[in-house]
Amino acid sequence: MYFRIAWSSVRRSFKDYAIYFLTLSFAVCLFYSFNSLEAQQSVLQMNQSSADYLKKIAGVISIISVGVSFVLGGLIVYANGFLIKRRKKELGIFMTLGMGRNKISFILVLETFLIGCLALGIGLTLGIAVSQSFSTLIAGLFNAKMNVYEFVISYSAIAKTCLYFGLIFASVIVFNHVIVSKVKLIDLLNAAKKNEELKVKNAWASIIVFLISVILLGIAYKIAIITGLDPYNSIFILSLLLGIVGTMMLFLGLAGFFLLLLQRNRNFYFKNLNMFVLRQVHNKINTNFVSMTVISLMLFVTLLSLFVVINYKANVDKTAEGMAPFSGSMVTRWIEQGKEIPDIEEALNNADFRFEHKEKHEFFNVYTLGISIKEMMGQYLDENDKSDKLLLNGEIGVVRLSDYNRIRALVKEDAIDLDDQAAMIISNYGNFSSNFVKFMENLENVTVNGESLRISHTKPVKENIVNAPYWPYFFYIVVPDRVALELKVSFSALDIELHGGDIESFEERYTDLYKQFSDNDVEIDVYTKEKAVLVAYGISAFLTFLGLYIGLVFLMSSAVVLALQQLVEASDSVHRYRVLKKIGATDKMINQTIFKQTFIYFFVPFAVAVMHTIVGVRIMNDFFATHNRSVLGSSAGLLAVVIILIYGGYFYTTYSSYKSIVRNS
Amino acid sequence: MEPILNVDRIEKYYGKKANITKAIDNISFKVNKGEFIGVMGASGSGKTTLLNCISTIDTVTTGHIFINGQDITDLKSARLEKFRVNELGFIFQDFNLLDTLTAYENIALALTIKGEAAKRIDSLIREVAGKLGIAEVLGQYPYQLSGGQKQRVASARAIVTNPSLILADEPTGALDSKSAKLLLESFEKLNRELQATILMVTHDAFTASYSNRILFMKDGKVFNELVRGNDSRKQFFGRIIEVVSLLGGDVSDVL
Ligand SMILES: Nc1ncnc2c1ncn2[C@@H]1O[C@H](COP(=O)(O)OP(=O)(O)OP(=O)(O)O)[C@@H](O)[C@H]1O
Ligand SMILES: [Mg+2]
Repeated sequence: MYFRIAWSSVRRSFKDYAIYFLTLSFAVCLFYSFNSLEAQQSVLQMNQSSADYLKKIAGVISIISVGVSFVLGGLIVYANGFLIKRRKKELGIFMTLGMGRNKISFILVLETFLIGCLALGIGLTLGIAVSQSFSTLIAGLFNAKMNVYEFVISYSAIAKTCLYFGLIFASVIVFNHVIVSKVKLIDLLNAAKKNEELKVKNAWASIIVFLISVILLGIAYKIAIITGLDPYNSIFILSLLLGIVGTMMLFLGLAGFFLLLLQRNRNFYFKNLNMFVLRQVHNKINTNFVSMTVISLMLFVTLLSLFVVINYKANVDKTAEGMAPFSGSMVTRWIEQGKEIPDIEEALNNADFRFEHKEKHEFFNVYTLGISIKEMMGQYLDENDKSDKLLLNGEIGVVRLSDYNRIRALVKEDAIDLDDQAAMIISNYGNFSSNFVKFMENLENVTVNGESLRISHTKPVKENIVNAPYWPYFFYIVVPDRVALELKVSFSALDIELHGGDIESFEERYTDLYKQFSDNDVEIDVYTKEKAVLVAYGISAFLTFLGLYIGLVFLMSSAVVLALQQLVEASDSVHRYRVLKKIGATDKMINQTIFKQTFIYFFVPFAVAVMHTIVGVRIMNDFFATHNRSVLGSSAGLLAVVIILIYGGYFYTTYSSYKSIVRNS
Repeated sequence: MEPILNVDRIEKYYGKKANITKAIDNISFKVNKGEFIGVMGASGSGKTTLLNCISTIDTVTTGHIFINGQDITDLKSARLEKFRVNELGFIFQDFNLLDTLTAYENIALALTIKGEAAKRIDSLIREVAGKLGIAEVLGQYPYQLSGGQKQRVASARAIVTNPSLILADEPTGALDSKSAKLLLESFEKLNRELQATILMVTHDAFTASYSNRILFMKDGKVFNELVRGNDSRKQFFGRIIEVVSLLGGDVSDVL
């Protein structure tokens, strides 16, 4: 019988529960998806080092999940508290009918249990569905191939999710019990009639506050852009503080300012229920300006971290393009003037290293041109631009045509034909600087060893001549052999391409070799393709998952708090809607009013967050030296859709719950 | 002359078969333009129910109600809403002002719901506020107003749209005698000067004495009718007291 009461009250107040339910299911879904990361590996063709890296990421996510579970638990208890508040009257009636506190508490336990089970079921189903797309994401991040499609279910993640959420539900039950056992009957019955005193602020004061906030934010933006991202600079910290204070003042003054502004526009103000909407929103934002500030800043952190993650990924993709064209490379390190460059072949012999049958390889030298990049294209590249500046620090190497064609042959590329008076450029600078593209367009001749050579291709080849993960910018000139005969050697290199051997054992052998080199102080670096790729993609994968996880939890939290505040507002305002109805407002007008109100309430903190994000992105762009490049790739679009779906989903659910609270009053 | 309000044999039942309440039991009456009608009766006699049926807040079980010749009992909801906004004005016992809006805006709201052009709104409000003596308090919020001022603001909201019929449910119920008097005098003025038709529910004889005609209700029926004719308000009040005591009410109770 208690079960029936519990079940029917869950069903009856389903609209009320919608936000609570949505939050629970989302939370479960998120929690499961991220904790199932490791299991996704089974559908991917991944080398050992990538798999290890993924395991590490999963480990960190698992630690962060403890913190996340506290945030989610807090949210769920908060949302539950809201529901209980709305149902105090009903509970009071149970009590007057002679039902004991323990029994009421028991009914609430049953309700929590029912809802919990339902949400766990739906959340896990959703999570399992969502996590399938994670394998695609991981594949993209690690540049790994997908095996035949297979449905992945992580039982350990399911168990973990059940455990954590079981604990959260237990705390909800304790919370409910405390409320029911502490409360007095009279409070329960009177809970429904609550009269809030309205504080009316001076309109002009809010205009002044608003203007000050705009000035503060302006100053904060300006300072932050000038100093750049620099946590050790106290002026940068000051700009952050100014930004926070400015945001708070903005929310304090915003509503009053717009109210006054729109009141002047009589055609707008005196249209339908506009003035009612404005007044409602005005009061709400005014009384909740602190939480609006917190929410807006949280959204800002969310958007910025998601953006940075995408940006970083795009950045890695650009750098990684053509970065590791061979299975492996060896390169002599930069040697001080006058010292001898080590001989790679000799070093291999000393290490007792033999190439295997399937390992095709080529030795070659790179020569110095004698002039710096700055001398060559200093008038094109802008020294104040961070990415151009990086490029200016690079070096120019000269490669003989015959060497170049031999290493092309390694990866089965056709030989290049250069006539006797021509040269060709190999460089990925174009990925980083539009100034460089301009430079190339204007470059007709290059002087090598006193001889002027015609540039044969205006578009440089973007494939590197060695694997080079740590300094991913390169600029080489390929010249006919005779021109480079007398040039000084800059460094020696060896490229190896595996034609159909076992990658894992290859990887192992060269890792051992590298270790041996460093133990014996041999100044030669060994870069295998797997290692190069891992360095580039591993960090990006790590940031992506971390950013996504924390970003989505923050996004959800902000939306939940906004939603609940709106619903509190709804129950506090039902008498107002009753009046509107009585004086002749139509249902359509009232629904529009609710829509506009909820929309503004969701939109304003988001818009402020977007404003901050635009500035933040600019600073981040400077920091990561990613100017002149569009970072809005396909993943950004997808992410925007996800954000809008979650935030919009909360908005819509809030809107319809609000409507039903007003309608059922 | 066609009556502005024609109530034709209406009945209103509450509840299901087993325990039916006849809140209204076969009532008919007519109201002409410019009349000021009082409806009196003991608690539970069906006054509010009658008013709710006329104001389309509630629906009748049987019978018809015509306002300006229009049968409101068979209007579809969309037209009903429109009709309500254009033809009726309400004054409620507990004011029903919106606490978030100023007095001015509360009055304006009735006009914006009606779809009045923004540029006419100000002059309409100033005009009605002048008549009801609330011009000085238009910028105030309801919590800054006295009960009498609130009720006059609510009245202003009801009449500013120039409705054919003003319906008032115990408008003086929450007022002290001085405020009640002020409000009733402004009703009288509205009725005389603007030819406003008023239907006012009250259980208070003093309040009722301001009207021209009084319908007495008991157990859902109209059992008596008093017309003021050329009596002074005092004389009319005396006659009302007689009927009330006949009804069994305690005279001291209604004074
Ligand atoms: N919604 C309802 N459901 C059931 N019965 C109702 C409802 N509204 C009113 N009644 C009943 O109808 C009868 C008339 O009620 P009504 O509110 O019209 O009385 P009234 O004359 O306005 O009384 P008062 O002077 O106390 O306001 C009463 O017996 C009441 O119990
Ligand atoms: Mg009544």
